Amino acid sequence: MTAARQVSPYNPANAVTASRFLTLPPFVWAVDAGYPQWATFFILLCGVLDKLDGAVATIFNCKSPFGEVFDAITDAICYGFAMIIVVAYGWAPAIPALTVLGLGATNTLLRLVYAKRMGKAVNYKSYAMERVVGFIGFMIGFATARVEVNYYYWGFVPIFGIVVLHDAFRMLGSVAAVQPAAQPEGAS
Amino acid sequence: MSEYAFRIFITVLIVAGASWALFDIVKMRKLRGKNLREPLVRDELFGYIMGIVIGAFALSGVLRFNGVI
Repeated sequence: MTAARQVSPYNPANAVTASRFLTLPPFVWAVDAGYPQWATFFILLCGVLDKLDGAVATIFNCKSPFGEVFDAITDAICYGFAMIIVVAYGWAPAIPALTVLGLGATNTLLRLVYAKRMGKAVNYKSYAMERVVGFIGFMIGFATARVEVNYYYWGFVPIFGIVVLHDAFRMLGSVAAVQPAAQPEGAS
Repeated sequence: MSEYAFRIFITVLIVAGASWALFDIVKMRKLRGKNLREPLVRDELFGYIMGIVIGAFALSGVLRFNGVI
């Protein structure tokens, strides 16, 4: 019998994930200085590193529940922060951008409730949310590159809303389905 | 980078990102024959459909950006 393999949180994949934070200060500098191409480059770099960490985890065989959660948190912080910056500098419309941030926060809250009640450290896997998060990275790029900003921002709100609603029903439904089984015998 | 080169670069980047929807179409086709009453299969199907919708949305924007529509 082999013991479960312990993966240190200080591994190459998490180092790549953490390195995404380093793209934020130069991103702010580029927006503040009015360099849209540099701002686009730094948010693009942040997105590329997001794709790279999964590949590094596979190559070095260091996938872990902590890594998955750390990746999700890094996505939220990097993209959330970058979106606030583009709104603050008037590069993106405030109402749809803040709605997207609100929907993202709601989804994070629901995931925490799900993880706590299900007793799992790992997120609920949502194929749709993976695609939505990838697109949010692109949305910041649309703002910095000035590509149909209003069209993309307003058009994305209903798409994101549908995904958050779907995942909310799935997560809360899973919790409701598991809870009766989790009660101790004899409990009413 | 000149404005024109940047515009081409951004267009190529968005089209490359939107082409991810093609993978979702292939993956969705692979779900045929699976039990759609299974919640995890339905999750997968929903994810691929949203991937295709997002890809089409991204493409429509890039067409507007280039004055095609």
